[in-house]
Amino acid sequence: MKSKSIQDNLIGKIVICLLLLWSFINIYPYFYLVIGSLKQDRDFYTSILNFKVLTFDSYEKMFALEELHFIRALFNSLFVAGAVTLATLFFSAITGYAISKLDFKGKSFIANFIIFQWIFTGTGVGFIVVFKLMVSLNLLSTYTALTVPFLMSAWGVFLFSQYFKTIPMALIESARIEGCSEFGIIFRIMIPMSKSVAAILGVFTFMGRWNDLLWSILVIRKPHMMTLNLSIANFVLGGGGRDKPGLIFAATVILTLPLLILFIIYRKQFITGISIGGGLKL
Amino acid sequence: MVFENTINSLKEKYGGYRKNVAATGSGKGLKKMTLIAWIIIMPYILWNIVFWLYPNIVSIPIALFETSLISAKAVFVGLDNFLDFFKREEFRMIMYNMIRFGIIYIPLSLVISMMLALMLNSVKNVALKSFLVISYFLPNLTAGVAYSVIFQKIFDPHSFLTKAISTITGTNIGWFSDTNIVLIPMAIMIVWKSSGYYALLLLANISSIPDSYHEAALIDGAGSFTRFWKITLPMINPTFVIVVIFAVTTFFGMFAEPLMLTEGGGPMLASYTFKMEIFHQIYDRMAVGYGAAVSLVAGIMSYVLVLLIKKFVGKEV
Repeated sequence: MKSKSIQDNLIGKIVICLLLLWSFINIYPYFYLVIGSLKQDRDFYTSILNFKVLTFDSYEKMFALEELHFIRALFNSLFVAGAVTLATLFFSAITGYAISKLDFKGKSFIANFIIFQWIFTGTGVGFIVVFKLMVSLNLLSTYTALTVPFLMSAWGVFLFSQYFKTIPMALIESARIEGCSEFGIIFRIMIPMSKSVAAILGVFTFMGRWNDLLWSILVIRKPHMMTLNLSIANFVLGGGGRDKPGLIFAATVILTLPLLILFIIYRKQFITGISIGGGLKL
Repeated sequence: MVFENTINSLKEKYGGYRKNVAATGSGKGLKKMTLIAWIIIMPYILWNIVFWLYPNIVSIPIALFETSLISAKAVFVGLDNFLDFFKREEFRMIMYNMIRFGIIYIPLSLVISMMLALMLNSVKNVALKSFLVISYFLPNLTAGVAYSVIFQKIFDPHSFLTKAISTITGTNIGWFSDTNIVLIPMAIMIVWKSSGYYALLLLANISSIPDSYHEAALIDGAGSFTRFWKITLPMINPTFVIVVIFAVTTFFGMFAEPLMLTEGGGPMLASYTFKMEIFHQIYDRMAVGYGAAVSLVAGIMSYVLVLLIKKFVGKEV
């Protein structure tokens, strides 16, 4: 028996080494990114462990570079992702409240429709029609085009309605007796009680908009309306990256940072969200 | 249908709830409540008519027209958009790339994620486990543009990795300029991005298998491989099917990677994808009808693949 436990112990150590190796592989590119952003362009391809050459030059150049519109692009990204996230949370919460806590005519039809929508995300061709709509309404290069097509989420309504069902009806009844309006109930009672659901929906919505490339590239044609993601892509594709790798890396650090911060704050919700969001939403 | 269970259970929940409300009574008249409820859900309904119902209904017939983005004129061309697409070199290259990419990517990501999930499940130390889980999730958050920028430099001709491999093999490797190998760095990059995520999906299911199953099998003298094959794999089948579907359909979602790394699917279309072709049609050529046709072809193809996976990988437990 003793030799078996020694063998198990050894296997356990090898397993941990392999797992740590994969986490090193996962983290290394971020390390490479940060170090690269702190190098001057002429030192860019020198050893990654050469810490003496590090400066903040690339960041200064990044702010100064006219082509990148860095501040404006960062603002656009934050504004678009933030506005869509807030709107999605708001509309999902009120719609979820109506279909889970209110009794009204046509309710089962609406509830079934939302489930249908959530499960069958559509033909995947719809965005071309929406794009044509944006062009014909002359909405290219506007915040409207970046935000309005993403304001609602069937998944969000579903998440909220499922969670609201666990909140006892008595709470709502007593609030009504006290004279609280339906909106008052939603914002004073229901939303404060469902922070965890709001966090899951919020971080995933924010991530979707922040990382989006295809839609923004289609609807944004003016440099000052570009999101940070698009602005960096545009700069790299324009050939700017060839002689300014440090600068591109600096901008990419800023592009990666907000989601990392969100992830560190809401890591539990992210991990729960992948089983609710990723596992079932096909 | 695989969703039938979900739908039925949801219907039960909603149906059951209706009865509950009726029993307790809402305190306000049903008429007044109906008005309030419809006011609350009205934004959702209006938005969905414009941005979900209308686009999804129009998107299929639009593929039968030759119509431009900027003009309202549309000429009915029947299936010409589809037939023309099937005849073009781009279509053949997309199919060829899908197979080449799949051969590298699908086995690599499935094996790595399964091994990671199994190994993670055996880790007892809570702090270590949460560190590993967090680090495995990281790549999945990163924007396509961001990791493309990073990997472009990791696979750059001047980079350490390229120089090392060039020295070993004795040839000069241009990762993104050689038609035969361009999909390898791309597949590696996407394995890096998604394997941890797949592993976490699998882990959630593996850790829910009761220990008693394995203990019983151990008493019967089953080895670790037999236990994996006869207990773990069948028990996690629903999640495994989802992970296989994700892995197989990855190719259909590839856009930022070819755009950033190979200037839109080069060299010689060797990394061209469906999304690149759709983008090219509706952005450069402004051919909305044609783009919709390509998009439908991609949609139908991925749907057929999903059905095949469900048929051959999925099991009724």
